[in-house]
Amino acid sequence: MIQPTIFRPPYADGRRHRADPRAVDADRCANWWSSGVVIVVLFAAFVAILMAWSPSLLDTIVIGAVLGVVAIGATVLGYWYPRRFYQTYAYRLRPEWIEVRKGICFRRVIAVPRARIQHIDVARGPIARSYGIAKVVLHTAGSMYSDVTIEGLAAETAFRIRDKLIEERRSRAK
Amino acid sequence: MTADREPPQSPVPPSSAEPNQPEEPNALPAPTDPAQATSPNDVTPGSSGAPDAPPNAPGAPAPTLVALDTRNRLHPLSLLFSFIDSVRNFIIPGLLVLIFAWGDKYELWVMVFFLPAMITSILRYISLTYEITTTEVVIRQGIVSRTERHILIDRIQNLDTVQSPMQRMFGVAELTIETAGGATEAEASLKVVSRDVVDEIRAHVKGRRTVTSAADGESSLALPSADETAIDPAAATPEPRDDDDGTPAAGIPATEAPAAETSAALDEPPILRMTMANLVAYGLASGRGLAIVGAGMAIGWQFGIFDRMSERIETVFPWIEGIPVFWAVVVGVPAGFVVLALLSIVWAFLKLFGFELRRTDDGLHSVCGLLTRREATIPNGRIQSLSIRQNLFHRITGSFTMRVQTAGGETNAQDQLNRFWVVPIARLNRAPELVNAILPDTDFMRLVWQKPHPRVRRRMFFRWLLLTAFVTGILHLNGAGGWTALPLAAIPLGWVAACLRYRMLEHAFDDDRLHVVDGLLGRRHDIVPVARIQAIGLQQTPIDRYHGLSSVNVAIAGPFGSGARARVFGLPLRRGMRLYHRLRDRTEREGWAVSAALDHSSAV
Repeated sequence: MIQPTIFRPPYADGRRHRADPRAVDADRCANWWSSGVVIVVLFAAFVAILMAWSPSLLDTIVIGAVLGVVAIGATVLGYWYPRRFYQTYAYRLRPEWIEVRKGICFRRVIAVPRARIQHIDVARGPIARSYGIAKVVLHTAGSMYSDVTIEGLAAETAFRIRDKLIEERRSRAK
Repeated sequence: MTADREPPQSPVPPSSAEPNQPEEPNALPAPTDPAQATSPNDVTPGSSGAPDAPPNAPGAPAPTLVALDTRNRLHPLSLLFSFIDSVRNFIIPGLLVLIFAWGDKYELWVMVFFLPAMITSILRYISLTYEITTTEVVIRQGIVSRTERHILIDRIQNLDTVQSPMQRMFGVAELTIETAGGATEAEASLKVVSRDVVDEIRAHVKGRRTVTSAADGESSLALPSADETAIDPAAATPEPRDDDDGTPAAGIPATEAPAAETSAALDEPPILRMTMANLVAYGLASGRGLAIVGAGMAIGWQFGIFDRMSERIETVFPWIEGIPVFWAVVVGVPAGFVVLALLSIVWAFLKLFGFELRRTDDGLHSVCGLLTRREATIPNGRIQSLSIRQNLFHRITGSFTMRVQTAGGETNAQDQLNRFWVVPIARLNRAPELVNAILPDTDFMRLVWQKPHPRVRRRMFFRWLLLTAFVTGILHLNGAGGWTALPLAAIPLGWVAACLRYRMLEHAFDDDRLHVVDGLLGRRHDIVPVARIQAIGLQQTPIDRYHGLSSVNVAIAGPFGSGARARVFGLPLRRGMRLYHRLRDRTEREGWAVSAALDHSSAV
């Protein structure tokens, strides 16, 4: 795996890059947070039902079991999915186009000519920030592929790629 | 838009040049035409607004109708037309109600709508002003909450005019300004201004835009210099876009041609003109009569007219009940078809009478309409893709219709008619010529057509099976009894459809244009210039992977979800990858020269 260094990010090396390894952990953390909130709410509702209606023992066991399965499933999925996702994930930056390949079930490779990029965002949530991860969103004018995301970048790399692309745009637009 | 009104290289006195527009001359020069100077319809010279506007320097030619940097009102007749406009929606139902529901106390209810309409049209006239500057069109509107809309002239995609018969009588027109964007409505609509003002604004916008579009490297779609390109396409077209530093290559000579040459271009015979036979064929192909009858029925149903009508008919023609059913059907059904066809033809005549498509130095220009004249312009370089379509009627009669996708928002169906259907109908053997008139250097001879893998039939059939299974399941759950088996009878139909579609599917890519053909009974042939491709994707769904297939999608600029794309599907993964790589690397070679394919790409 080629690690982009802080000093010379892959602006246009044409090589296939994998995501920063921290991205897997960041995504797992994000998944667990979001599924955790839902599960806590569901359990709260479960407890509230127990208090309010005091259902039969069988019902309690069934509902509890379903909830438990959901909780375990969400946790396992939240652990497994990011690893699998970043196994198939790769991006490439060439002087003329940027290519992103991703998808577990629905696989796709998308190439965006650099000259067609309308504007560029760097997106990072609180969890991604704490892991030092960011993603670059490339917006095109197309009716499909109107936003293509380069995911799992080290924050420094993401900002530098963005700055580079904006600089290119400016020199092109003059 | 005569040439004398817009000399492209008019020497401009330095005093009139705007400080922030060094490269662009004041593009609304004065026609020293006394006939036009005597009809100053729309000018309200700077009374209400723009005290800060720089007055035109005394040395500069003074504009006649629309002074730069002053706020102008619409034509006073817009009072009338906006009133008609707001009332129009009620007129037909209102009249129907008046006729068929006489004495039902409905007629007073209808009248209630007229008063507010009158007030709003007056308020609108008072509040709306437009202002033309060297760089912008500014439209101010509103009394309580004022809105001020600045439209950069460089960003204007389309300038269309619509003239209803009444507006033609008064010499006024409705001007619609549209920029690229996902909006479903036009950016601004000046309804109504006088015809001369329309021409002047058009000339102004055109003068501003020619330079920018040439600098964007839009040379490939600029006006070909009349003769040579058609005869000798290979030799006469040097690569015009090899410029890395953005130096406009071939665009400037064409667009800044001397005035004599541009007016000669206007005098050229139109690319397409509709004959009477064409109009009849268009009407028949459109099948619009059915839609008209349907709309009429719907309205009729709404107001319960049919019951009354059948009563009245029976009272007027009492013998009608004596006709046997057999003869009613035998005579009535063909007669119905004839009526539908006639209605369609009438509709075609109303819409498309006198249709002409021309290439001007401005872009593609079309005019049509029997009563309401519509004029539309697609500026050079704004055509994103082109689509040759044939329905069953077209295929039987050997004709086609052609549609153009621009980056602007979709507008209402009426405007689409002459904006996007650049060729309403023409014989199939004219297709290469017409395509080349719109997208020059499209070579049909060199195309190597490729078909998807035959397995794609199985994939399409598989989807059909899933659908029928779904429908069957729903029927079963609803307790449809014996009817549950009905969708199963449709299974063979799915296979037939898959085979038909497979016969139609093909694609070709000659490094300049991607051609994609799709269809079942109809046929649709999309042509996408490489320079217009926004992004390319190679995709595999799970079903695709099961069949070992893949699809290549090409995104074209357009509003989200507008279907502005080309899709090649059913390719084995290896071939899909090859096509994807060719497309990707071709856009690579396209390089920076076409970077600003869309003007708004230079927005940020």
